[in-house]
Amino acid sequence: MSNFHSVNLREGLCNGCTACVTVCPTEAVRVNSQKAEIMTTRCTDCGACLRACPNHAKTGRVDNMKDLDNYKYKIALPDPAIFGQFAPDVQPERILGSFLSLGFDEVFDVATACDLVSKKIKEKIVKTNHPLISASCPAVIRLIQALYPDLIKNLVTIEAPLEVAGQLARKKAIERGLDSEDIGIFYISPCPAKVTAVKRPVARKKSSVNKVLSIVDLYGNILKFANMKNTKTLQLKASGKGYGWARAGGESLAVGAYNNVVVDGIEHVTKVLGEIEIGKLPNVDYIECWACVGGCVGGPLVVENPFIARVKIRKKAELLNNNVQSSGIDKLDHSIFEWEEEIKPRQIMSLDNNMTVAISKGKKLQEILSKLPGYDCGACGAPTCRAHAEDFVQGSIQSTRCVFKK
Amino acid sequence: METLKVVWQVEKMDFTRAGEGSSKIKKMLHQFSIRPDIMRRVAIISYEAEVNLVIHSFGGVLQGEVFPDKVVVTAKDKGPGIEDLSKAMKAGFSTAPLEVRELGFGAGMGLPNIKRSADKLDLQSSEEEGTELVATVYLS
Ligand code: SF4
Ligand code: SF4
Repeated sequence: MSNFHSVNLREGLCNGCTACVTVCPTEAVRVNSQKAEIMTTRCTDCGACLRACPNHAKTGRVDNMKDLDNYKYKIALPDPAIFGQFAPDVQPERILGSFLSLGFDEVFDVATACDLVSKKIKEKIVKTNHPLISASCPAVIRLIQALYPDLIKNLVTIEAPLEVAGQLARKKAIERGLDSEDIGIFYISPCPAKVTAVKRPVARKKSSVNKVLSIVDLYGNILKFANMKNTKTLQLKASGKGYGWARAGGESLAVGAYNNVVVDGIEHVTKVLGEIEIGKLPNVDYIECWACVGGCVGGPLVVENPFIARVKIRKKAELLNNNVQSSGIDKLDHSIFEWEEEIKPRQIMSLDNNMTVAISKGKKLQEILSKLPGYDCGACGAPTCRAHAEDFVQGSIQSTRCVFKK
Repeated sequence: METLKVVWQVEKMDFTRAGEGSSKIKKMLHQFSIRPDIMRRVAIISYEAEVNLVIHSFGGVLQGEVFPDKVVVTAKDKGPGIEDLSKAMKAGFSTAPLEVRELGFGAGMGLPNIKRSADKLDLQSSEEEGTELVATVYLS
């Protein structure tokens, strides 16, 4: 099931308005019989459609708290984006501590892994293909696989903090005598893309993380526990820069990239990747690309407005030690940082593997397209007239249904 | 032999649309299972050829054509022709006006980039006929 993706439709809430259809960067959404459908082969889980839906019909396919019951020892891995979600008087130490009240046995702060990963990326910047593209947003990786496959070689081949945190948390628990089978590692995610990164990793066979919960689902309970007197507090161990990874630009700051570009929002990311592809950014060393506006603080599965969350994270980070905390990194087994497998291109738009067949299908497509008005209005349920013609040529619809057809 | 073609009109000095024709060509290429590095080379050629039409010509036509074994990018303009072809092929040589260079275009890398990315390049130019560039990239 390599086509797994984690954006889900709550059918009852969808009224077929097509708002989600036009925002998808890989043209993966169609509306058929008044309901949105996602083409699993094309979806990159960027979450653009979740955000665009006025009826909140799209959600992330996440696990739930009941899954805690399946493990003897439960470790929570909160994404740093969580610290931008609460009012300034909710202390980060109490946010971390609230996971113990929620039923977890241990909390492993992903920001500490951000510190370690920053150090590893810094080493790469000195010696690899430029520009180096950050591999931290899984939606961006999948977009590159699909639309900019030749840029795969520019991706930083370092595991994302979430995976590193999972590996470390498991290792440490095993060292303390726990059985790997009994350990349940729960990542607390801002987005569906990271759910997919766990369920179907691109650069390894299996993730060390077992389950993924969303920030939005836990929000109410965290708030409740964080405000209760007897909730434990847990010390913050990462640097301000580690926590800063939650916002766009934070990663570059932490890795000390100087000639860098930060891009957020999937439509801007596609534009900039296109420019890198044709060689227009020759003097840039590092490019941070985030599918969400503001970075992960703006993920589709969070609560706070990205612009406000961003300021909150920045202010919290400023109060902390600003030196990346990487002491002890040399004692670690460095394979936890490396990709296990090469990332492969995904040809998602191809009409056929055979050139001659693809050419004749392409001609048919152009012929149909010449009869469509070119309004790209979405009324037929496809994002563009071209996509609609393509659906017909590929046999997924039996007739074109353009309301404006001449 | 059946081929698939995208044809795009390019207006002189229309920087707001520069790059649209080449992105149409790229869209067409996505319809085939073409090797990523080849796709990128065609993207570079068509973009540079399009920008050349915008900066240096009186307007013209950009065309991308896919054959079973190759992709051919053609840029044909209405003049004024390239004065010294061999000079134009040199990296860094540019006849782009200052206003254009200030926009970040016309650094004199267009033709050299095209040449580097193409397997075969034919360039004909005269004051009367204008310039015709035909760049071929083989698929294997
Ligand atoms: S945006 Fe998409 S999912 Fe939401 S109601 Fe409209 S068609 Fe349905
Ligand atoms: S920017 Fe962050 S929250 Fe948004 S899709 Fe990428 S990883 Fe997820």
